[in-house]
Amino acid sequence: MSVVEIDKPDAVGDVELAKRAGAGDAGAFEQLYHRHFRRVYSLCLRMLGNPTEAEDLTQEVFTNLYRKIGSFRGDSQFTTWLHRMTVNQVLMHFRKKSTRTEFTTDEGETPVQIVQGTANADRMPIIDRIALEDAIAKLAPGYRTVFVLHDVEGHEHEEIARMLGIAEGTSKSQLHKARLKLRELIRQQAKLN
Amino acid sequence: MNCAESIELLSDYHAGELDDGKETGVSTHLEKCPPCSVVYTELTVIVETASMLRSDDKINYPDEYVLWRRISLTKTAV
Repeated sequence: MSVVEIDKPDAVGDVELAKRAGAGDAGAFEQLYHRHFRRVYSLCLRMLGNPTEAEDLTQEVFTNLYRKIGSFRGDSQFTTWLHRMTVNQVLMHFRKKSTRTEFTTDEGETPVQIVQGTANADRMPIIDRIALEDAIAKLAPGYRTVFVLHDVEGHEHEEIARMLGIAEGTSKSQLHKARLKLRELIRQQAKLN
Repeated sequence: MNCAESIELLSDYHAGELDDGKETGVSTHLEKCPPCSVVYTELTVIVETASMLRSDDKINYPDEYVLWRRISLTKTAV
């Protein structure tokens, strides 16, 4: 939706709207909300795995945005700035729930059991969008955060390490374990179906 | 290279981040080990499916306007 609006000759860009909102233009802030609501909510939902918490966090993100929009200088894209703000807000939420330790060690998660080859190893479970989203929701927050940021959102490990305050190697290790855990969860779910 | 060593390196192998020796080791192992080959294929499908989620819009979004009213109330209290 935002792309369509921006492509219109008379559409006002995010940076201009942010400047206006920072100067107290309530209408400009509301426009930014409607443009970016879905993006923020979907990121919160994928990182949290819970619609109710995602809704609450989305509210917190935009309330925080309202407080800070005056400090947006336009050095980066507005979407990048808001994306980081959203990730930080979710991470703060995790910290409040005392799950921070999951980012500090490679071993802080449920051990991943590698399901090795069996007689039916060639019977591959269906890995589609629904199966994957269900499995992502079941991941521990530490794994889920790195997986969503890297494999869904497309961030590099270096950037993820910076955002989470962890070593790049830890980000890589967490991602690999998250993928293996997802595979295990999808296989478990396929057996139940 | 055994199964455990191979499994440990699959994400780096997928990303093309292994040195030549390890890459050949994993590749050779996958060719002769169907179970590990299945693991690799499944991880690859997971990564590919995840990248499709980014542009996927099949999420059940909450009511945008209800949430906006909640935000409006909060920000007037800021």
